[in-house]
Amino acid sequence: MSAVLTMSTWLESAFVSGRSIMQPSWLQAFREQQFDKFLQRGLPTRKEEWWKYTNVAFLEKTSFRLPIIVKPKKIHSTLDSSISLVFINGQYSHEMSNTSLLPSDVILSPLSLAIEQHEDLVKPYLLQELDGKKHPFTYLNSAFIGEGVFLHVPENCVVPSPIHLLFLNTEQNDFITYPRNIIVAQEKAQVTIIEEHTANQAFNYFTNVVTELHAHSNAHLSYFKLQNEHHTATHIANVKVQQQQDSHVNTFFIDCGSRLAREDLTIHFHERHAECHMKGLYLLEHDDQHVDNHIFVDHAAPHCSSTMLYKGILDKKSQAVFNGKVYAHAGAKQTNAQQSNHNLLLSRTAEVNTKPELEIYEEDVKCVHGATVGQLNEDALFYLRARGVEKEEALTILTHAFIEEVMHNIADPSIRNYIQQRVRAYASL
Amino acid sequence: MSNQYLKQIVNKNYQYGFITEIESDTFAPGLSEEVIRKISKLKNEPEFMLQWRLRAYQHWLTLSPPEWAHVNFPEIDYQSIIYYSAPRVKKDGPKSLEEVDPQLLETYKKLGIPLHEQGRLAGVAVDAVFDSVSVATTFKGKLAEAGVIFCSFSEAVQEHPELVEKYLGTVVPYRDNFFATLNSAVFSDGSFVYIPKGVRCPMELSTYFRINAANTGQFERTLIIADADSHVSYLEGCTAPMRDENQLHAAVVELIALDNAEIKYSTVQNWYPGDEEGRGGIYNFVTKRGACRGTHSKISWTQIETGSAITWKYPSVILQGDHSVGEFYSVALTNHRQQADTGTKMIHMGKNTRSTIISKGISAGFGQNTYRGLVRVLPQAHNARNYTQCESLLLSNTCGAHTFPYIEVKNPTAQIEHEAYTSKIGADQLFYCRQRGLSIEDAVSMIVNGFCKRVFNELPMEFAVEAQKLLEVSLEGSVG
Repeated sequence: MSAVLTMSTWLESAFVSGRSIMQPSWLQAFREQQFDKFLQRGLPTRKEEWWKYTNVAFLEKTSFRLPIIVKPKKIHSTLDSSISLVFINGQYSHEMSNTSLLPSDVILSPLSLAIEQHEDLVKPYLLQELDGKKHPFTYLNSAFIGEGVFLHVPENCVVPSPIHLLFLNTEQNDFITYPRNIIVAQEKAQVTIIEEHTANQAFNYFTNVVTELHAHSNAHLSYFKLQNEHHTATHIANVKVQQQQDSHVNTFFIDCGSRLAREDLTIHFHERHAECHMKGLYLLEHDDQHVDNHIFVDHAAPHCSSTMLYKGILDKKSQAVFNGKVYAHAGAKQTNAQQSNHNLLLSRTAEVNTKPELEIYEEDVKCVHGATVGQLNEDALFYLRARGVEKEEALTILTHAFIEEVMHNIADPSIRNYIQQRVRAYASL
Repeated sequence: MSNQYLKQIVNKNYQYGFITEIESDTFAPGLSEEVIRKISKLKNEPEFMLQWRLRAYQHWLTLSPPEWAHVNFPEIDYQSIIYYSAPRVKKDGPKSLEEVDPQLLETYKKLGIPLHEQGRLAGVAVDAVFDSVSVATTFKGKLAEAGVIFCSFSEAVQEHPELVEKYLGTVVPYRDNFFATLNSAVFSDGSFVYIPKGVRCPMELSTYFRINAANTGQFERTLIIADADSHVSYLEGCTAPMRDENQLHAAVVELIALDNAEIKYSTVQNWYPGDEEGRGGIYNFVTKRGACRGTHSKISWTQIETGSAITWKYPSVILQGDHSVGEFYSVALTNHRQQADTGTKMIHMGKNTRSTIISKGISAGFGQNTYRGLVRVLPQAHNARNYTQCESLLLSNTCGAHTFPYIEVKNPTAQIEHEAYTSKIGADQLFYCRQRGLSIEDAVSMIVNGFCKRVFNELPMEFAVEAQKLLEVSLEGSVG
């Protein structure tokens, strides 16, 4: 390889080469505009409060290519789901996907196809201005909009089984993908989505993903994010949830992979009586592995409630960041918000930075938060050892016990199974 | 109804807002190297002090004011502030209480601070700071018997330069932050305490700060050193006249506790908070930090923050010595347009260090109350333990209460807990009290008092009474 290119140079050339893709002119214009905004904004630095603990400066000196199309013989996923869309290195794979069980009035298609076939439906969602100032990678994602998922569940429709969106990175190194997912659950619709990012024979790649979830009134939406990228990869995600009246959203994030993973999750309560339950689990086992969860819950409407429970276990020289912020606007009466983050440190060199924040401008609220950092309880360990349990076994039991609270209430057995496998793989280290 | 009650509080007047007519020596507004040289010369300081001030000033010129705090105020013009103002003295300064200007004594009497040595609160030795200088220190003789040095900072520079040189700026270096650096350059007076080895200070020490002159900034510096096996309890109080302009108060407090020493530092901060429209009031931008240098040392901060237009203050403890203990107890009240961004930092460096943070925020009117805290555990701090609890009470639907705790842990043996909640007074709590025949005012006052009790319990007796009264006055009939 020749000398390392700076970020704007390789981005510029990638962006120019992307112009040849056939896309409607409004999208082309939007992408140009977003690209300019990214260049103006630049990469975030640690001087910014929102990026205080996560250093992305190395991206400045790393160059990524656009991915090539590969066709793997088979894919590894521990999830057996009946409805799935599969993306290989960011490209949609029709052969691998399976949508036969989908109710007929549900639209589930790769974004590129949706832009062609349902332009009017997709356009307003795509043109929405997201929080690029705070999260500049979103500008970048918008600038490279091409592929991703468009899911539209119409009124009163209940999708019977989870929809699995699999992003597999394989047989290539040093590439970058920009998936953009738009998920819309109309009134009283019910749907469960699993977004999985995983890798096989791929190194040093970069996933920059943006997922938007829209839960209209009385919709029930469950969103599982399984991030199990290769431990040399960079994964930067921004998930935005928009909730209308009486909508009910569950989110669950599990982060095991990547060298650097950044998960931004924003919940906007636009109308009253909406509810959101967020859970997260991060299991870190490599030196210099860094996982950062930034959550912002915007209580802009009265009578909404949110709960947040994130747990993490850290080994080796890994680092975890947690920042949960509850913002209650004036007038958001009867706001009920809970936040908690618990961390378990298994090694002397692991590091946790946690910051549960409350910003409250309304008196009629109940907001609670808590955070703990510690190691496995010596007494509990002694108790087990005294009963003849091997040390390794005892540690595994206690680790499982620590995690159990997060696993609670996951209805779907295949997801539960998947998470348990990840935990088992982790705890047996 | 509760709204009426709230209005009553909001309209409550600040009772320390009078101005003392007294002749004073005052510099022209503005800051320059010359001003610093003048202050230093006026105080007849040794060369090391002047050099230190000038280094701070040079560094300050390179800094810009911090913007991260959750407060809003117009930019301060540092050239329009008067950096030195002192009541005029006839000769070389008062040698004893009898020589102090009776006007000054009258002022302190009005504030309820006894500058005579036989008063009701005669168990407390007081250092009274009026604008830029210390005007009197009581009970010096009695303290000297025990070997305790308690005097104004200027005096300490003259009499104990070796102690000042050894410890000044070792906890809050002159490069620390914008306001601490400014203070290092221009500070005019303050209190100095040295407790020798093995001495338990025979009485409470206290400093009473009063801003009187208009357009002045007050920059005092307090340095407390507790040598091995010693103990001291120190109180601090402050008031200012009512004026329409904002006045800057940028103080620095440094505490040093050596092996087995204990320092207890209590503050009742009641600077003029401004009127209900937010006009006037003190900008209280203070850097307070203690270092537990020795093993088994302990530093405890207790603060009752009811005054100031803006409070920006984070009394911190650096837990260097093994087994050292840091504590922070705080009640912060914001009413009208007051803004408070306050909290603490606990830096765990030594083994088996422990810290406790109890913070209670009360917001009323349009007040914005922020808790901002840091608990940091460094890799070598084995078995560090922290417990943090911050609670916020909201008394109006126009105020705000915010919590920004930073927790940074680099050692697995650390055990860190943080919990917080924000809510208004529960309707069920009120109902319970009313049902038992309490008026709404009494019920609210009782609940607020209960809310703050844990912190009030940490205050020395003399202050606990004052703090409770202060809160009662500020919240009279407020909630419900």
